[in-house]
Amino acid sequence: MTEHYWGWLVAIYLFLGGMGAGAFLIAAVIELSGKRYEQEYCPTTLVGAGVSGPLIVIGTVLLIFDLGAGLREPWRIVNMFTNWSSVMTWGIWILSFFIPIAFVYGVLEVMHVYPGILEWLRRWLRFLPETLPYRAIKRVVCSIGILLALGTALYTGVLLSVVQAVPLWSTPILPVLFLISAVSTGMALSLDLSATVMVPETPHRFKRLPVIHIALIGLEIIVLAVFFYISFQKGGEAAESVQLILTGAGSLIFWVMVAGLGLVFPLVLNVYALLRGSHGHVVGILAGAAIVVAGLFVRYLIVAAAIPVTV
Amino acid sequence: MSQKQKSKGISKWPQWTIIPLGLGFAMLAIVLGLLLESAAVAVTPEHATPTPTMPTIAYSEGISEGCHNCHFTLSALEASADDPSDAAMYLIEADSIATPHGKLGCLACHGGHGEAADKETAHEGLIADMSAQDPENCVICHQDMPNEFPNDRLRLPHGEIIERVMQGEPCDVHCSDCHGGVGHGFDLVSGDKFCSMTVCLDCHVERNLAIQMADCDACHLAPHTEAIPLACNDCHRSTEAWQGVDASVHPVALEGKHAETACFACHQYPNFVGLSDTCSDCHESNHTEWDAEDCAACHDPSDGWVFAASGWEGHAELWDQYKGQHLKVSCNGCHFMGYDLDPSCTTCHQVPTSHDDGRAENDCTVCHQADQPWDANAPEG
Repeated sequence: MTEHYWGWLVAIYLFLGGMGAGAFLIAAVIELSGKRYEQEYCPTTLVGAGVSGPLIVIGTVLLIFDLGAGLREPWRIVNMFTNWSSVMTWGIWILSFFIPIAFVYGVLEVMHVYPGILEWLRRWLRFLPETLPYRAIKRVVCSIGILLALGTALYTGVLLSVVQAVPLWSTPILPVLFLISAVSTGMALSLDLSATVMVPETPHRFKRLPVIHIALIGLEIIVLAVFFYISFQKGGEAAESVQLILTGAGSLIFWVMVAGLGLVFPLVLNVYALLRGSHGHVVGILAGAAIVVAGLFVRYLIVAAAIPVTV
Repeated sequence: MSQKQKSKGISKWPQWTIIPLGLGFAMLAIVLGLLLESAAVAVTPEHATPTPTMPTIAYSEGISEGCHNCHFTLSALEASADDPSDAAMYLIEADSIATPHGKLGCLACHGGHGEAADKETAHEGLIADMSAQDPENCVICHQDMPNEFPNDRLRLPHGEIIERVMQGEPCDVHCSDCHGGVGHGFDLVSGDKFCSMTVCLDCHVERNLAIQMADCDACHLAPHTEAIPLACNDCHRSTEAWQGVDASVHPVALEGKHAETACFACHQYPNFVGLSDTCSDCHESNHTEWDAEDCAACHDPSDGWVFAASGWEGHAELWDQYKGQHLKVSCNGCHFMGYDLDPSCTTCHQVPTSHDDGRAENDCTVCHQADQPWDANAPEG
């Protein structure tokens, strides 16, 4: 599929940024709800807290590579912090706050799981107490982090929706679509995939997991359909972009990887799990992997199908 | 954690390994995505690209050397020109192309063949004014030109022109009409050069554009807003026609208090309508009996409107005693009851009792003249 505007680097950044924010959200919600403390070990919060920061940093580095000028003259990036009329400035500030918060949460979660780390640190940093009120600290960190994670997930969509030269992107529904996809992929990576591989019992701990997945997938289908409908109704380049995705060069990827693998397949699996009354680990892993891969392709298709206003 | 349960099925791997595992899954998904996309492209039949990609302006600095060889030196131009007397018209100052547009290279805007050895080939497909011939090439970069420039208090039709260009509609206003040779050192945006309003107006008149010349607000942002005061000739120096509205020809001399007053304290915003040049349009007269239309007959605005002695020359025709000491008397010294005044001496002067001997029956001027000592002609000497 020909990339007209931005390419894979931006698509991967949007994917990692959204998924990192989503993983943080899932972990933070489990933390704040107290669900984390119902088990001796909660792999979902550990992986969610542990991967959100690194994923977003990797995505941001890719973005700097895409910018080009950011590599040649990195000091110019500083100027982007004060260009208040640009949505990128808002994004940079959100990321600048969220990345440290995500790392702090990750470190706290690891230290909570491994108390020996604090003991080891106390050898060098003698002012540290024998124990830390992890739950109380994480409550504060998660509360702030949830807002920043929502901002990050929304921002990845806002970044595209403000580009008026690309009619396909220029719609307020795009941030909504990216937010839903961020939560969906974040949950799939941390809970369905990683946590279930480590602890196959994980899906059983979340009785309403199939319902949540069905709701998210259903919502994503509706928003995606509305997004395509609105774009098609706009006509011109927006309609041509939609045709490119649905019937053109991107159609195979869309119908097989996004609609089939990322939406219908996990939807069927979760409906099956709901009807069966239990959510097996195989179902979880398969559905999770499908949602993650499809999440990448959703962003890639939307990025690559951009046809700018012709002059 | 009172309800803590012993987890079942926990992997034998250390718990921390779930973090690299999660990162690994994310990276695996990306690798899988890249591979699957390549595979999908390979098996998808070719589709015609719905629309062409954004056209680009070729960066042609490197292949414009041939242009420089001739156009930077007059002698080279004269040698190759059909008419050497016209050669100077095509001379380009080398320094002038050091602008952002100039750095794009001659060919980026003017086409032609910069590497050609002969003049004819070099000028094949030459474009004199890209903004007239291919305005979309300007709009590629300049889609977001603002319509209002608050610092310059100007309103410009950028949006409408760009919209027309983008829609492929005819537009007889070109970027170069205002911005001139942007690649040749003419840079209005820098503020180094002042663009006379004559440039705008001449073009509007020539094209018979609908913008009303009298409607300042059509092009100027709040031209007469008192909060941001401008001197009249900040704007009205621009054209010969507008120079007529100069403070020096103001119907009322702008001196004294008038020179300190804001325009719209007297005039109606924005078109200066509703005001004649009579004092009573603005000032309320305290004089109930006198004509309030000509305050300056008695008052001197250059001296703070202090009450002035009358200098009306008509007095002498109406009254033969308007001379001598009478000239020093202020207007209301006599006209305290209005202009309709009996010129008899007794209107102001009382006849002394010494004249009860019969002299009071005579006209005072028989013996006394205002421009002579009081007793100069007195019978008693």
